[in-house]
Amino acid sequence: MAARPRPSSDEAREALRDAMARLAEGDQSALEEIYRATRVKLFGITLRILGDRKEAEDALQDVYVNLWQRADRYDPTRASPIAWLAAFARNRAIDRLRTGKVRAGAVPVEEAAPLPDETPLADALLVDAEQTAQIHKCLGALDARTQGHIRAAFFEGKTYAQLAEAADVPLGTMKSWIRRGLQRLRACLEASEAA
Amino acid sequence: MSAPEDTMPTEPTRDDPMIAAEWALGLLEGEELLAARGKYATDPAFAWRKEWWDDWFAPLSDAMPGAEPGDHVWDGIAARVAAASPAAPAEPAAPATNVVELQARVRRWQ
Repeated sequence: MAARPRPSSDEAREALRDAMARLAEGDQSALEEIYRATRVKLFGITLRILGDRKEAEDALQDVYVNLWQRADRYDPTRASPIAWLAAFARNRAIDRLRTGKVRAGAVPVEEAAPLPDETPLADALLVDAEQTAQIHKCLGALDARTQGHIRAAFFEGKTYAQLAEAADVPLGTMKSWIRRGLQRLRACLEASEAA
Repeated sequence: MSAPEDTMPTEPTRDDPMIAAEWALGLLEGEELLAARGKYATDPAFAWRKEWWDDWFAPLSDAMPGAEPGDHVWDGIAARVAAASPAAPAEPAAPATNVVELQARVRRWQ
């Protein structure tokens, strides 16, 4: 999935960054702008993690209300706004999984409502291409088994216990597989930062 | 599936950066999750490392297909924001009818 250079991509990113800055200054109208630009991506994330449309919509609401309450937490020098928002949305969805009664992956994602064609800014708001390539490269350097477990944690919101059960191994074994994987992943990512 | 005997020649140290990684991936639950949240609030190095992992993992979400939420989601957000900011000045662009409508929505929400 090579990143197509799109003329609108930088513009979309800057518009979003600008809206985030205005929101941090208390401009409420910026929230609607951010919502329009990012809802499809962020709902895709909460839906994927929670596997239930109603839960995912509730989580999405929390994401934007929280964003409005704490927009000053976004540091524009750190991450692209969409990367930050994507992590924020995923974290909220995971919180909901961990504190609530929702079961991870309750509904196959394929059953999610189909997306209308006019995906607002969807591909204009992909995360930085270089960073994307690097995380895929570092993940790909792990052994297939570890990689699979780390992906299952990321995409399905699985806990150590659930991963261990699914793989039919003791909890301690799963923890040490994943921790060794995370250790190598960190070394690989840090090496890329130093390069 | 591999048998347990191929595990743990070297167990990595579970230091703060490792806990931050586990948390960012979403693996923590219960007491460990609460402890990580507490540490995030009080330990800037830990918070930095959690966000470092979040930033690196974020591109993976590009592989999650987008989806269109129902229209009521925005209505709910607008109502909650309006309810939480009673002292906020009316938006210049918002006609008074919108304010009335929002207040009605807020009442429904409460």
